Amino acid sequence: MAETGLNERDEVEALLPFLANNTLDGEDRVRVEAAVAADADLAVQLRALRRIRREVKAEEMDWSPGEMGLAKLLREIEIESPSEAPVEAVVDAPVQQAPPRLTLTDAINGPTSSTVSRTTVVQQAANTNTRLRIWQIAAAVAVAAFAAQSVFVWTGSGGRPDVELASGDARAPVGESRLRIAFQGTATESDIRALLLAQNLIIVDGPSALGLYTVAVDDASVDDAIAALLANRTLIENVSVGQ
Amino acid sequence: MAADHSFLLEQIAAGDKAAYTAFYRELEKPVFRFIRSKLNDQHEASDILHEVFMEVWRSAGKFEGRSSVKTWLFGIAYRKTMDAFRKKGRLDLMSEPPEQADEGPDAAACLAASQEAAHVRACLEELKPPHRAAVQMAFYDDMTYGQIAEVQGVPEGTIKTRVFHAKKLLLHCLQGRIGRAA
Repeated sequence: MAETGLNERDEVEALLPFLANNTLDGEDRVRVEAAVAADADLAVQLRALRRIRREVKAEEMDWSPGEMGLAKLLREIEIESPSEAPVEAVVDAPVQQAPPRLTLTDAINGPTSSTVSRTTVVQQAANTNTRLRIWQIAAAVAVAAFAAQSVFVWTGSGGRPDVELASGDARAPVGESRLRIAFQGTATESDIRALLLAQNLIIVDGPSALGLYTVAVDDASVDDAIAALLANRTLIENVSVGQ
Repeated sequence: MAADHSFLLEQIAAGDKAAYTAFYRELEKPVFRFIRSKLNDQHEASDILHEVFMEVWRSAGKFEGRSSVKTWLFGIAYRKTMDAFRKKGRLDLMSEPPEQADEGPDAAACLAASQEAAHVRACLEELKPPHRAAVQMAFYDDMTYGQIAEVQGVPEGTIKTRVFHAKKLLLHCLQGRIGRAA
């Protein structure tokens, strides 16, 4: 008892919350349980503490920064240490696939699941460029037909160097495109988070002065992502593809 | 899951933003909830969350595995939250709570009969930050007193003392509020 300055009874009382949260074990648990069994006052306190714990745990958190907070962090990290993401920086060196959209399950599969050779990245980009241009045409048609949706295509890697600028250029790396999204004013953070997670999208910039968010998407998934986003008109006001 | 978090931290230390994203998505909400429960200010809590995860990015390589990743992370969050209190002059870590009358079984029985979440919330707000933090960690995060001591960076005996006083004050406050409402 010298450690706490509490007498035996007080120390038992101090440990009651940990019996209430079921983290007490060993000698402490035996001692406190015995005291509770022998003392009606302690038993009543324990019931009260369990009730308080239930109230505390039941209290909902109405909001958290979520994906917006992540986007802000990634922007700051990119500014602070752009060289720490050596995507496409060294020819023939194993590189990490840039901007992250890794799930925990993916991540724990090990480094080989999140790294590919530069050759593979370039090949994938080449393969998707043709398909993207086809999609660009289709999108242009869509623009004409649905002016309100104003969908445009950015051709990904075409016509720009395969090196990410140290200044933190927000343009998409090879094999990846950017979508700009205008969310409905009524969309909640949890709705947005669920939608982006379901489509494996990550906010990499925004909100802009106009309230637009930029998300990164694999070239291979652009069509599906746009379709999925536009299918959620209660959350999505507009989607465009671009830098 | 602890091993998974350790793996993610190793990846983050190597500059892997994918691992960082996964780590954030796993732990952002509990960490924010942890900070938010100690500050009654959503925007300030958001700023602190940002600082915490920036420190994760910068310091992932310093994690030595002597504690769980969650304890390490909550320790960062706790220090930054207390720093915010200090900057605003809202924290007197040295003072102990004033002596209160023993709550006795009536207070506890009164509480046990109530389901007044608002009273619980209000009474938690009245506790000093380190005491409230200890109660929140015990009841919301289900931490052991050893883990709470690690997060707060104090001996286990100090946590027992804080919890002892916090419990007395909490029950006393609830007795008063529920008594007035009755």
